[in-house]
Amino acid sequence: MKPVPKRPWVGAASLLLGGAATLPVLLSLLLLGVLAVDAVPAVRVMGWHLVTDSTWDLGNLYGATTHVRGVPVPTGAHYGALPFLVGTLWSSALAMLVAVPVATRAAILTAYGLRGRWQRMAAVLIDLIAGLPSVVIGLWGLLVLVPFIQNTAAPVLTRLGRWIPWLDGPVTSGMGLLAATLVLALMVTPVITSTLRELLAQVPAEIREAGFAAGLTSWEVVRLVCLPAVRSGRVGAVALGWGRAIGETMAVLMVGGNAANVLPTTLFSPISTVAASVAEQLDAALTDPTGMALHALSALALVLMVISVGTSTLSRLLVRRSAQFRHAAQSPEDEEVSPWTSRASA
Amino acid sequence: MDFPRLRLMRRLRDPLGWGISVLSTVLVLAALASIIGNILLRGLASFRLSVFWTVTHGVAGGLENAILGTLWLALWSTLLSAVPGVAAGLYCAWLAPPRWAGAIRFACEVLSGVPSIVIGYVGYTVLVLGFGWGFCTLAGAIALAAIQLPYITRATDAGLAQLGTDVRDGALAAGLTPGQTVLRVGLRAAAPAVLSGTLLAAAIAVGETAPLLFTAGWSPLVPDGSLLHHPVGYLTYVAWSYIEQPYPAAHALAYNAALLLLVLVLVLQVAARGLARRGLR
Amino acid sequence: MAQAVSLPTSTPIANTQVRMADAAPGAHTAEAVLEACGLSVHYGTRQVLHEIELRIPRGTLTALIGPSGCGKSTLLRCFNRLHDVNPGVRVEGEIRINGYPVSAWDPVALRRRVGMVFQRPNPFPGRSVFENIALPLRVSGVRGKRALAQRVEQALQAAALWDEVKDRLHQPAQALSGGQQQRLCIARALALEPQVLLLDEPTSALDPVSTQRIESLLQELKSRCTLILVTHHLGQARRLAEHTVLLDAGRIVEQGPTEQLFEAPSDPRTAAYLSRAE
Repeated sequence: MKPVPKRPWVGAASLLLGGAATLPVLLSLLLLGVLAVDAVPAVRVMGWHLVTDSTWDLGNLYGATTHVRGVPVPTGAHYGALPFLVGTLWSSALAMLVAVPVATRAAILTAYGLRGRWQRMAAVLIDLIAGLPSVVIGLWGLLVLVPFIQNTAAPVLTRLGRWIPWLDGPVTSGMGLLAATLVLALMVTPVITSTLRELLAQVPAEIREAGFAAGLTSWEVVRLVCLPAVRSGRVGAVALGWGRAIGETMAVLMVGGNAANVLPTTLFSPISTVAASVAEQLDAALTDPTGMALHALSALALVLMVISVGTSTLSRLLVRRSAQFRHAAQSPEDEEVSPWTSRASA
Repeated sequence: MDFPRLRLMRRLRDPLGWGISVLSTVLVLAALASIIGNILLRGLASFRLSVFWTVTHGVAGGLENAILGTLWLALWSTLLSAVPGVAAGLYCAWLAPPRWAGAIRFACEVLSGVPSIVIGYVGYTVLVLGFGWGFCTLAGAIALAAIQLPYITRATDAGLAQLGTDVRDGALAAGLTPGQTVLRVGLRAAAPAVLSGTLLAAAIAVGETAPLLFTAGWSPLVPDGSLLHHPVGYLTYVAWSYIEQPYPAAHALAYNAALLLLVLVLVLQVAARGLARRGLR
Repeated sequence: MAQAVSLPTSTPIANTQVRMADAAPGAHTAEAVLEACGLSVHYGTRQVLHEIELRIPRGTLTALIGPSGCGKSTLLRCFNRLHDVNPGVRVEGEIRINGYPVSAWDPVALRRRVGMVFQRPNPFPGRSVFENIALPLRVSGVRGKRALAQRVEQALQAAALWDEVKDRLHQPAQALSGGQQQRLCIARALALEPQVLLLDEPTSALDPVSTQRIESLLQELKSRCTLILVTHHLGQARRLAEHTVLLDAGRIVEQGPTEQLFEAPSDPRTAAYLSRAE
């Protein structure tokens, strides 16, 4: 290809806009880079113990420093993030267990079961939950959910605890794994619902009508035709919600009970998560003269960042793949599909 | 003629399936109602108009500093994110080569999935410590802007994608330069989407806590207009930390802050949706 | 993108009238306003146009017909360099307008002289009827309120839309009907007084009444500029076009006077296509 004599496409305006467009890319890379570099000393000191040990101790911040593998560390400091990781995994996994069936049903109803004004209203209201500040939901958790667990749910559940070990155990305050789970479930439900609702709404009417024409009942059309049509998108929506549950900070901080150095053993155990611990520990970490506590928190933040990049990637791949039949359905009336119109599937 | 009747199980499944769906939706909406109802009740029960003109001192006082701080932070963060966000969205939809546009969209998805505490943490290490800004408005606003940016970009991009590239090609064919095409036709066409996306992003800025804890800090003083070196207060901090205090006055402030947050966020969200619907017509 | 200058024949540019060797006899007595020589287009690795040789005589309407996906719209978009927008598209060969290769033009300046109307009406959203036409005028240097108003009125008159919209010039263009929107788009193109007007199936999204309106409008426009019409509808080509070009799979099958191409096609593939399409 010969060089182009005039390149009007690279005008000043395009350059400026294109420059702005690199911002999301640069920011993502910056976040990853800063955390990765900043986490290195902590990883050097702790190695795998960072994720396998259960003791998180910032050490004596006002005493002498020792050297571990040539790196200065406060005496007695030990950074074992296992309880945070376990708390994160349990709370988010249980939250998904609660949220996915509810969110799926809500998406089905708002996509197919309701019409006109009711459909719009239900969709808007559910989306509204996603927009509520997390401290407001956390506050609600403290005011309503925690007393409910303590006074109503726990007495019933612990009675079952004789047979089911996870339900047994001391119910101290109502704050703990169950409260965190329910708050997280509530927060991710609108995320899953709205993603799935949009996917379901894109299933072409002809495909649904084919189901009806084949003699299926309306629920069978949903279950056997529509849901399979968006299968990979469903997984993507769940991945998206899971990523949100893992990253949620304030609400968990408020109702999780702030466990330190213990692994949860029952539904009522206090927990902390990776995200909540970063928020909680930063204040104390600032006073570490060696800065090692900050490096350890960087490692935690890096873990969160990697998980969230992973879930975003997964959900993008799956939601896009699921959305593709839409493009196949609206084939252009004429002419070869130009790369511009096929862009959406890229 | 005899129609074969569906078997009982098959006939029962239909109402059952829809019934459970209705129950699920009602459950979610009930939770929403409980949140709004409880916050309204608690907030209104302890509400005094004087919170608007007294600052917090200790664990009591008013919310003037926090209200103004929230607005001040949201103003700056929205300014900082809207300009590049809209530009990136316009570029992505109409100018970027397809593969590059895909990369930008992906980066936006990644960015919007990053936990806000991580953004706050990096803001702390880079802006507060690295640049030596200390806790300040600008650090908080930049952290918030990083969260808002992908929303605004996506809203703009999606607003234009709805139109397809027909309008863009029409503008080019009418002799507009690419820059004119995007700024004089694209921006106008995407205006409703841009406005509603920006309002939604402002609602996010108002409601965030985690990214501000270690960038904006906290201050019981009314923001003095400075951007650097002076910490600033905000409502979400009050709602979070004052509920943990053992004093009724502190609780009352937390409820009031939550009430104000709820009202602010709901107003912004409703306005955004209203705009988006108007744009569709 | 690159308009690689590869002249297949050594014909001097000024001598355009003489080049008739590969055209039907007696067809091109008029001066050619637009010529394509050895024009090939690739979308990435896929070649969609192969060595197109084409001459469009001045002041006529030329119809481009052919089956779906044959490259008609792609060819049309070469004439105003709309492919430049897309880095994935590679255009080779030469197109000359008034004897000058389009690669020598600034593409924006070129598009102000070669107008285009699209398949679906695409008025600028959020702008009024007046603004839709005034905007391209303004950016191409027309200044002054009165001059603008005059040019807008002329364009709307020429597109036979003035009487219908003169009372609502400042209402949103999207409030117009589909047929009116398409005539607005024609007016938008005409406002710049183009020498060539490219029409990409302008009636395919319209109802029969609007279609007829636009067809009669195109008849009148022949006196103003050279028209190139991509159409699916053979009847439309026959009614409107002096010249017709049949494309198939990115190659020209036959080109010549419409009457001749339809009545006595010289290529058996033309006959086959015409009989299948009718």
